[in-house]
Amino acid sequence: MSSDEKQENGAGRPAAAPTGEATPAAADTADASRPVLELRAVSRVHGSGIASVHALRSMNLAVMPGELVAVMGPSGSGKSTLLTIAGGLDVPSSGEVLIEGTALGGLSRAGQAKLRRSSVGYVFQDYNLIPALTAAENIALPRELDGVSVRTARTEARAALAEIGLTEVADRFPDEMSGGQQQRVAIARALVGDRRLVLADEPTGALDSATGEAVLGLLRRRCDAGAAAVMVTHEPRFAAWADRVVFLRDGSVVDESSSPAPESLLDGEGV
Amino acid sequence: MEFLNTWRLALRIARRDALRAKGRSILVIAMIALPIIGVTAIDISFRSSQLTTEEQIDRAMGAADAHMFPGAPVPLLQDPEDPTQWTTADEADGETAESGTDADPEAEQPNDEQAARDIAALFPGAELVVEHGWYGAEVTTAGGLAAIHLREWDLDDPLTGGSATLREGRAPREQHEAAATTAFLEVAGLAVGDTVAVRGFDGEFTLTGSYELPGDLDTEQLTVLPGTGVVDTLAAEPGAEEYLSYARYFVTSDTPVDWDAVQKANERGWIVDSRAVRLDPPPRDEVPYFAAGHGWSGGGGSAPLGVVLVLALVILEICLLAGPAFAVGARRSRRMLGLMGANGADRRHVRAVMLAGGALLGLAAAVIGLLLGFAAALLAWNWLEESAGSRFGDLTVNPLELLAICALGVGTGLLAALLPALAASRSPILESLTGRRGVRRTGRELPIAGGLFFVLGTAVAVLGALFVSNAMVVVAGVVVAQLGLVATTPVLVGLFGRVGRFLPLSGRLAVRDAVRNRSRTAPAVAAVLAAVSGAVAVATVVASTNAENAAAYRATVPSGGVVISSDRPGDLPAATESALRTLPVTELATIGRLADTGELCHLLNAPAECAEPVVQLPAAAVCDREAFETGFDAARAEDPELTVAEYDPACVEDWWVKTPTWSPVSVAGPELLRVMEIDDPDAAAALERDEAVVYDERQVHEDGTLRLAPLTREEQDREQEPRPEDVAALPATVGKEADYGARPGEVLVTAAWAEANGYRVVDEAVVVATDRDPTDAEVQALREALSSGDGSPGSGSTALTLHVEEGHTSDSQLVLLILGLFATVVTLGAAGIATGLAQADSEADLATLSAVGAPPRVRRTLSGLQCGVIALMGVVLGSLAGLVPGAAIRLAGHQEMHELWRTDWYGGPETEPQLFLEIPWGTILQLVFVVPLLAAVVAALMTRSTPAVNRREQ
Repeated sequence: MSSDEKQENGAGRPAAAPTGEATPAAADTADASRPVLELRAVSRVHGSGIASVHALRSMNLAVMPGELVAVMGPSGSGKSTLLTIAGGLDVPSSGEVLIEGTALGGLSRAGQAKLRRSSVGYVFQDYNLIPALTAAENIALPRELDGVSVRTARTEARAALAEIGLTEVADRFPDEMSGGQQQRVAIARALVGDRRLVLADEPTGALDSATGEAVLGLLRRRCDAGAAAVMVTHEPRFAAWADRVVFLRDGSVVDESSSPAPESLLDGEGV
Repeated sequence: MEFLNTWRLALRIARRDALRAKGRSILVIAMIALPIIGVTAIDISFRSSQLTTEEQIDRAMGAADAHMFPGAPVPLLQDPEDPTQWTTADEADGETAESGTDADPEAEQPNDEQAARDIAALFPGAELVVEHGWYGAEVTTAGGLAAIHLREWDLDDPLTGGSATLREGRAPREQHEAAATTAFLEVAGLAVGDTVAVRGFDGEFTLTGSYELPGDLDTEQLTVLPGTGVVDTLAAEPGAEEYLSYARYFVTSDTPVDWDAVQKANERGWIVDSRAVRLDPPPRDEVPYFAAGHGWSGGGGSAPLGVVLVLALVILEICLLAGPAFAVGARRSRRMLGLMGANGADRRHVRAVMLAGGALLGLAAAVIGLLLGFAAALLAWNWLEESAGSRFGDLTVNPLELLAICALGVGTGLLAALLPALAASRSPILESLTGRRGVRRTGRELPIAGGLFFVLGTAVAVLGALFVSNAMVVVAGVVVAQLGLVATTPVLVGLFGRVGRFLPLSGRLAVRDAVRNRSRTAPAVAAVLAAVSGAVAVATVVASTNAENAAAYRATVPSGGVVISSDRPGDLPAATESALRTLPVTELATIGRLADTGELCHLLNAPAECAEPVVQLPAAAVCDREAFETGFDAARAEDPELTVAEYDPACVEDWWVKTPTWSPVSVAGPELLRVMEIDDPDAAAALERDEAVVYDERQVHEDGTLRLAPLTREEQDREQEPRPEDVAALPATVGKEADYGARPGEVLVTAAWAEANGYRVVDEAVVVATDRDPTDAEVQALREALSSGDGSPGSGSTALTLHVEEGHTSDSQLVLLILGLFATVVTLGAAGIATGLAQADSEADLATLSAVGAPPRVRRTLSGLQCGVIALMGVVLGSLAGLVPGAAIRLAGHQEMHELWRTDWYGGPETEPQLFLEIPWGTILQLVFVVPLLAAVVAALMTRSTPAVNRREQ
């Protein structure tokens, strides 16, 4: 990617890439017509009896390769629960979650962990990186956990860092990096190896707007290259980077829009 | 490969995490390293103290090829490697001496030089070197005389080899020169360059140097050159006791003294310690001594079970203490572990990270412990050698053992991290990421199993104490019960929580927090429980033993009284003067002994022809020892409860009675009874009438007299009856013992009676009554006067002994104090760690408390109470738990002693042993009241009263 492209991507919302436009490498490894993530009638109830809370109600969602989906909604609407269930960190009370066609419910804990290593990347609002590991080691972590040799994992990590233009922080520990750098390293880690699903929970929440834009630009580019991403956000201008915005309230999808303009999102927040 | 990758990653994370949390890491390393330091230092010191065979030989015979000594005038069989083990060939054959040879094996082998030369001639090319010496030679010191070992030997002779090491100056080269051991110089207050004289030998010796015997550093020895004639002169003295002189025979040879040569010497009744044989011993089956069934049959020794148990308990204690520290680490790293989970780490990855932390810190502790242990061994080297009384060999390091110690450190670290690792790996990722925490329910399996173990262990300990009488069974039961109790701690902590409702806010919060978070409270409480119960158990044993010893203690004279006695006549007048000068004396009484009137008969080791008075017992009071031993054994086989007194009262012996002197007949007046505070008017009146007082009524004949007859030792050995005209009879009164259990003597007669009956009275002791307990300064002044002398005749004699009656004394209070301190330190450590963990957990609660208007001190109060609650739970449960094993161990000891009393009529206790069980209230009260309070105050003081402004965690 040229520096001009980087500038363009970092400065403003690019035209939405056609859904399913994957890099040759991604196209080789995945079926472009199959959703990377699919939620089928997923419900999640916390507690029981009078104290029970419905975090998600029979939710359906499919995220295709190359698609960036933004999830918006008021506090308590089930946004974070959606992400944790999608990544197998939480178990739905009913329904089914499929990642690249594999149902999470049929996997053991170890199997789910393996799936996360190979297919899913998480990006949180902050505290994304393991303090005891350098940037390169953080990126190499899922690969090393997966049994890939240290040398190979590090090479891949450095390549990922080069791709996001952060080779200079390879040997820095998280507390030696800025918040934006940390988030970009987290995104690089989320997609290292063959992983093609990024679940991002307010990745820009702790960043200033310029840095947030840069982080979103990176996420967008990774999706344009064939990855799929689900991003929870409160910020309409960040949601504008998405191909699709899903509005949640009380655990249910109340609206969904494609390629939204920021102004329309602002209107839709009150839905 | 994947396993290796996992562990490589885990070790990397753990290493960096340990470096980031330096305080916690140092704490854990210190806890694990402390026992490693001790074990390493002990291992290196022990290994180094074990001499090689060559070193042992060098110390025993210097550079000689053999050392030989006479055994018996009959053929002998000896152990080639330990020549102190030998037997006669006839005895080995199971024959009597008479059947194998005409010689009597009991007879002493002629120990003369010519016989030694004849034996040395058996060894080809051998040369005999003889060392002469005298034990107990009286040598002048800075303050008087000292009885020491005197040698005639040339220390410059290469033959001395490794048997002596010159420390200062040089070896004597002239006849008027001498060298002394450093131990003697120190005791005698002498230095190189001073002069000494040997009593009984004309002339003085200048000390040219000091040396030490590496094998016996405490030996007080003086060496003069051979040919000085000191030994011959001392032997020629009137009344010289020949057995004090000796000759040692060394052999140097061009050819080694081999096993054949040794056996030839054995044939002639001599024993040979040969360098060549010791270095290359013959096969066991070629040694007649072993073939005859003597000697150690081999087989490896095993580490005592007790050591293993103690080690296991120490490791358990470390794990319990270090475990919460790892748990703190896991809690603080919760987000990191959650992130790992979000990135695909499964349980084994999280476990590996935690365990890697344990392994790394354990390894660091092991390495540091090894290095510090090595340094400690080197620092303590000299002190240990001097305490042991012999020099160690070369520094010996056994790599395998050090590796095992290292493994112990790593293993301890892994064990300590195991439970936190399991807990962390089971923690839901989402909970770790969000920082949410619920109340952990502990499983029921472990407490139930622990309860069963506790019941089982207690049963084994108590039943073992009652029926098996084996301390090891009791200890094993105690260990099992302790482990069980540790496992039940979560349940016990839960029971404790019920008191919460009665407490004020902070206390209620602290108790409920501890109970609701048992996974972090229980290990800390268990650590305190284990340490306190151990301390209370030992304290119970120590206090009970002390009470038993106090009850069994028998004073010799009233408290504060003093007995000065001397083996040598003439010492006492000056000593009495010294006592009058230095002590608050109210009255004195002299005790004498009866001696023959012949020349030199007044000496303690009187010539054989001197007679001494012997009590002639009535026929009914004479014990036929031989008949008794066989008959009584048979009678007890039928009736195990039968006592000696029931079987034959004449054979009852009271071994435990205390008297100021040991003579069978003492010479004293009624003033001795006053000085010893014995209110016995009848005895006093008898002494006034110059009659006898006896303390064993069996000695009194039917006509009410005591009968004494003079017999030489030889006559006594032959059990010769005295001539009737030599037997003196005098009226006897049976005296009363003192209230404190002592007797003034076995038999008392007066000086007037002794003189009238042809005995000489030799002063033996003076008993001093005081109006109060002498102060330390007064006793020291008296000791000084007695040991260094004041120039008056007889003063400064080493023959003088001093006994100051202080009643029962013991250092049990110090032991109890140390136990209390140990338990306090462990309690503070464990409670402190758990409080740190609780604080890490409670930040949100504290913030809430602040938000609802709680004053800042609540933070400190809560922290202090959290620490205090954990300490209190641990010490209360530990104190209760410690009393059981303490009582069981005491009970086992009592049963053992009771069994000894019941079955061993000769060596066992005289009266039926009573069970002494003393609860160490002082230690328990200190632990229950002071320690939790201290823990609470320390924790409160070390807590900020306001929340810290934390930078964002990264």
